Amino acid sequence: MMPPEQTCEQQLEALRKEFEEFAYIVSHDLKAPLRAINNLSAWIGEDLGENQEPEVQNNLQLLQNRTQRMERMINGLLEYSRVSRQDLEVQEVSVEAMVQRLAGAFPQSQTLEVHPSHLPTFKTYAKKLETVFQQLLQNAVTFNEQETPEAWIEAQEQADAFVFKVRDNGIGIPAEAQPKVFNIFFTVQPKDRHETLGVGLAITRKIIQFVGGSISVQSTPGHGTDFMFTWPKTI
Amino acid sequence: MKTKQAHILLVEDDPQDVASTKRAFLSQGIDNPVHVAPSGKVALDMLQGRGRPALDPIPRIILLDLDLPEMSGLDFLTALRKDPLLKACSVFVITGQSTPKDLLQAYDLNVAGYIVKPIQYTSFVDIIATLNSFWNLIELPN
Repeated sequence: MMPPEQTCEQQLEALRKEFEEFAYIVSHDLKAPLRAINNLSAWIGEDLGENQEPEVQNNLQLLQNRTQRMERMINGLLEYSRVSRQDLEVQEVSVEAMVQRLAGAFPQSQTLEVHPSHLPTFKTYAKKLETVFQQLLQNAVTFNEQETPEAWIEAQEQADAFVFKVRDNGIGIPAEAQPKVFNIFFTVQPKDRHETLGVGLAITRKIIQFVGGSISVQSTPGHGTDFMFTWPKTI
Repeated sequence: MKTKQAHILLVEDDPQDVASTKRAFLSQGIDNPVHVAPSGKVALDMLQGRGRPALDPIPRIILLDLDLPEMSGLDFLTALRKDPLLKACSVFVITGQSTPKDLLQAYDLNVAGYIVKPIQYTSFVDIIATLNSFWNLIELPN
């Protein structure tokens, strides 16, 4: 016998429920033991008092750092899982103004000079597009050793989509790492060098796939990175 | 009433979080009497004197976890607000979860504050210290 067919609404409802459960497990059930580990290690430190062996002190510090890192990973996972559910408001957006505003919001220690050209104004998921640019510009400035980190942002208009290109003068990505940069929790740099999680580009790709576009990367180490992505003109 | 003498009821099922709260209280020199209930139902029984003598004086400050066995934190809060003797209690939600829905429901039930448990113990101690200075500032009913 065939199972009764579900309507789209029922499927959507079931998916929504499944997602809620997943988000709950991630945010609550995984964090509780992590909190306990962090608390217990803090107490061991407190109870040992001031005169700890330097090695013990160092290990306790590492333990605390790792629990904090894991918390950030959990938050990243949660954000990744929310891509298809949040920020769904459609608004008119000037990409040029958006890019300027994002670049202006970086802290003093991370200034980025942006060069926008031929950027459109159109109606789309404004917040999602902003997250994509925020992430690409953030990468341009984080993985950059130039005195003046710079990014060039341009767009080409196609029949149904815009092709955006974000080029930076950063350190670049080695060829063997390029296919993996969009994987969640993948980082090129060793984790003690950059406190990055490997979540940003994974979220970026998920957003672009959600709207029906695609993203690719080209890079020559030492000469910067080009990210190219398509974004539909109408949602 | 001086808040320094106010009894506090902690409604929390995770022994580790109970220990955290007690330890943070100790480190901040908070010596108000603290009662602990591991579920919403036990908390209500303790306050209303079901199957045991009711807590006396009534704890005017309640620290409430939301994710509890038997009776959830929000169900407990709903029952509390319906009881004429208990509805004036100041309730602070201290919980691991924060969905927009929980948050709104809790404030609809007049909580005095909604706090998400931090991962770091030092941040938790800061929270307790802030709550303590707040309690010392306000007047509570007898």
